[in-house]
Amino acid sequence: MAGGGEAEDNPVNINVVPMVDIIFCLCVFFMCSFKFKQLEGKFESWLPKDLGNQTTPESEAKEMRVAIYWDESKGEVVRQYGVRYIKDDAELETLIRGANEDYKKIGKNDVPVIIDGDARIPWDEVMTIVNIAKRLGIEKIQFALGANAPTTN
Amino acid sequence: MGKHKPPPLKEDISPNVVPMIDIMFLLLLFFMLGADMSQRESVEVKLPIADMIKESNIDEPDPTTTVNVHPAGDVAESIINDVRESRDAKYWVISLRGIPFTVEQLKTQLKIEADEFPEDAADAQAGRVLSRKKVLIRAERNAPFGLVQKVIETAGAVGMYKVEVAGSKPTPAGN
Repeated sequence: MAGGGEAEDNPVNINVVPMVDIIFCLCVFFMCSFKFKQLEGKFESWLPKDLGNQTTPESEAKEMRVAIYWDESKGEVVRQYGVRYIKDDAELETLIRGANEDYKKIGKNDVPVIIDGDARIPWDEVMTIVNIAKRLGIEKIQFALGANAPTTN
Repeated sequence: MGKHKPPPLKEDISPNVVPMIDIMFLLLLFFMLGADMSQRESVEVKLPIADMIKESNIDEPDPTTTVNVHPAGDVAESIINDVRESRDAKYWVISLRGIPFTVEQLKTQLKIEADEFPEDAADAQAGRVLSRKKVLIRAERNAPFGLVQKVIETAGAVGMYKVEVAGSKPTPAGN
């Protein structure tokens, strides 16, 4: 090519244009069908080594318990912190932060957030609370297994 | 005699397409591999959004088994997206490498996988040798918590105490 006159030297002249067309088509096809992988991550939640199911001993009764259950009458998920109904995530975060700071003041740095969830609530609701706890720097998060809707006052 | 007029130069303007073809082939290869090999372990799951999740580290020393909790194949998306409807466990499947498992089958399978990677010594607290293999639970947003509980419980029962739950980072679009 650089020397010019290559066409005369090389009688076999390959027409690459159809090949480029095909490659372009294939490229467009794969680009369109390509699904970019969702940016995934994970929370580590190591289970207690003694089989996972525990009852809370009296001496460790300090906890931040969030109850989540399905309210059949309203047809929605209800969240409670203690006896208080939670309106939104910000309110829950404020309550947990306050309680955590109070526990820290009395030297309890390892108080867990216990998620006491009804088996039929969406997993998303549980993850929201895990996320809030992680944001507040609380590492000890426990799932209460087999919880039922609490009786309210 | 008049001045000699030089003949007009013939410009060779044929582009060199070889580098372009090389690049196109590389792009093609990239998209082919990316499209095919992305998700062997995992099925497509709409994970819960969580901004505090840790991104997965490829160089993790401990092996991981991925358990997916996702909608059954024949369930309409409208049911899955409606929280009132989707709370029923009958619409959901627990699967491992694309194969659906009942809780009992899952326990058997996880037991096999747990025994492949035992920890070096028996754990004093547990009174037995636990597994160093991790379980990553990828559950769809609207999956009932009860199913995830069952997977966690099953993993704990077979000695797989390193449980991880998957979430996805929020995107600028908010989904």
